[in-house]
Amino acid sequence: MGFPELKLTANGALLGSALFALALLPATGAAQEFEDVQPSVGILSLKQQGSFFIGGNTHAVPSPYAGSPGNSMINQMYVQFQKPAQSNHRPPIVFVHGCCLSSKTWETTPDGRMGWYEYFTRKGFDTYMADQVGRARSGFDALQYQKVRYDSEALEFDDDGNGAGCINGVSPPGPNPAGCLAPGDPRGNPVSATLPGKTGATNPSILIATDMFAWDVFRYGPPCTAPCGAFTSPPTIAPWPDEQFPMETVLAGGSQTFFKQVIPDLSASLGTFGVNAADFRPTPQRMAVLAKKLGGAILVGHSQSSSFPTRAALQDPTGVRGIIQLETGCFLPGPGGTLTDADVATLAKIPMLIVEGDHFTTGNPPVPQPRPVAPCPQEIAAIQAAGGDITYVHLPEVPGIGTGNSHMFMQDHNNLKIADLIIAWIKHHVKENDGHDD
Amino acid sequence: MHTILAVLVSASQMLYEAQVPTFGCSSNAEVARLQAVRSDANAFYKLLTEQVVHGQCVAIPPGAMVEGSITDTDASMLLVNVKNDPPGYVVPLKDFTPRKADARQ
Repeated sequence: MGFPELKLTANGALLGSALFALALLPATGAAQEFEDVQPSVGILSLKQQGSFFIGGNTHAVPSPYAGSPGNSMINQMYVQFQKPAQSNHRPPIVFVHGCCLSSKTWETTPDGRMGWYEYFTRKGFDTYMADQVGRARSGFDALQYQKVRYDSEALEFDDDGNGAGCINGVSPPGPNPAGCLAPGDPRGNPVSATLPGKTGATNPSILIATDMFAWDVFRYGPPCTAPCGAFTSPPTIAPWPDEQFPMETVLAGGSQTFFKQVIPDLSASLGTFGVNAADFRPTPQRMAVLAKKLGGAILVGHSQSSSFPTRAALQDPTGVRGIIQLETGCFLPGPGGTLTDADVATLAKIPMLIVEGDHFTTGNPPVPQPRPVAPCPQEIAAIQAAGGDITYVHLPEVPGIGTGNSHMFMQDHNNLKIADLIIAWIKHHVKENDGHDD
Repeated sequence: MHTILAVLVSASQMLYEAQVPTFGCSSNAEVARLQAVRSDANAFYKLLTEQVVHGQCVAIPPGAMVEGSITDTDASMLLVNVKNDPPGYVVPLKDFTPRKADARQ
């Protein structure tokens, strides 16, 4: 599938601005760290920068889970922003990162080049970055891990419905005794459940993104089918010949700086207890609230969060002025899917952009998968049939972009070209603000 | 037609409790793919992780209470969390048991 609406835009201007952006960049040197941060391309004039939180709720943390029993705050979403001195009069843009990552995704690239946080600000956008609920500066619910740690020795306490419930392997009377499992309960950890005095409560899984996980998911090279590693020296795996990611920050022998932004993903700890029960993905709701507070915003999600802008719009479309999905994030409409006609009608009122990188393959030898990835074709067709404005971009097919973009194309060598592509789409599809910027 | 079905679905919502560590996805097909490899712990964990990473599925802890209804196309699957996280998630019904409406605190 092509992207006719982008072709209708002024390709020359698009390419021209992209080339100008590239001209601003010094040549990439050997990958280092502090030393690798490249010089400023000129004064960055800001009206304001700051940070705040959206949402959050307290829950009880009794002894012995905390040395000083009391309440702790969970489920808040940390937001950082900067506003340029000269606005482009478009709605603010809000970036949310993917799995195992944080807002660092949008900052300086691993090899020291300008990231999208600075670039979009330089282009006149009020630019916001949020850490997903349960990640990085948004914190996480440590009580669930403490519960497992102290499972066999804690004293009973009154469950406030928000936190841990029973102790010593006995569930208290009442509904939904969160986390209180008897020995041998099949919901528990089969190993710890066999230990004397253990109830078998299960730690929520922590997703640890290893080098090979990143290799496969971020598509740095052909899938590895034998023992191999990016950290082995010399590396026993090779990137795609046209790989756009700065691989000197990935492979042994280089800085491996990329992996320093990869952090544990505690998403599985979300939505277990009391008022938060079943709230497995609190971030989209916070994004909808943020967009409304901003008086309208363009929401951007990547990978794990690529569906979040759509989820946010379906919760409350009031503030959502545009949806940008970077890599996946589509929903199947109709039978067998979750997207209803009413959902499609809501989305048809919001401009949407889907951007995908290169090298989606399966098998060995790698076989390219059809683009867009399912179920995007069905969602695109449904929204277009409802009169909506949805654009699909497969980066290798865009004139001037080239091949080899990874899953992390906001950090690829041509990241600013891709940013210009997105900005061009915004200018043609998202309405200007109504004459007032704060 | 689908809107009418959605209204009917929302009218027949029930509370369910997850009995085992389970998952929810964006479509029946994604749930079926995971169910097909569930007996192989490693293959299941790898596929679930991949789906979670790409935002198509979520892990659901045991004891989680969800509002849901059996999907109109597959009686072995529930559509849950339509109200608090639209458009919701499809989950394998056999991992859940119905609970009384006052069970959620």
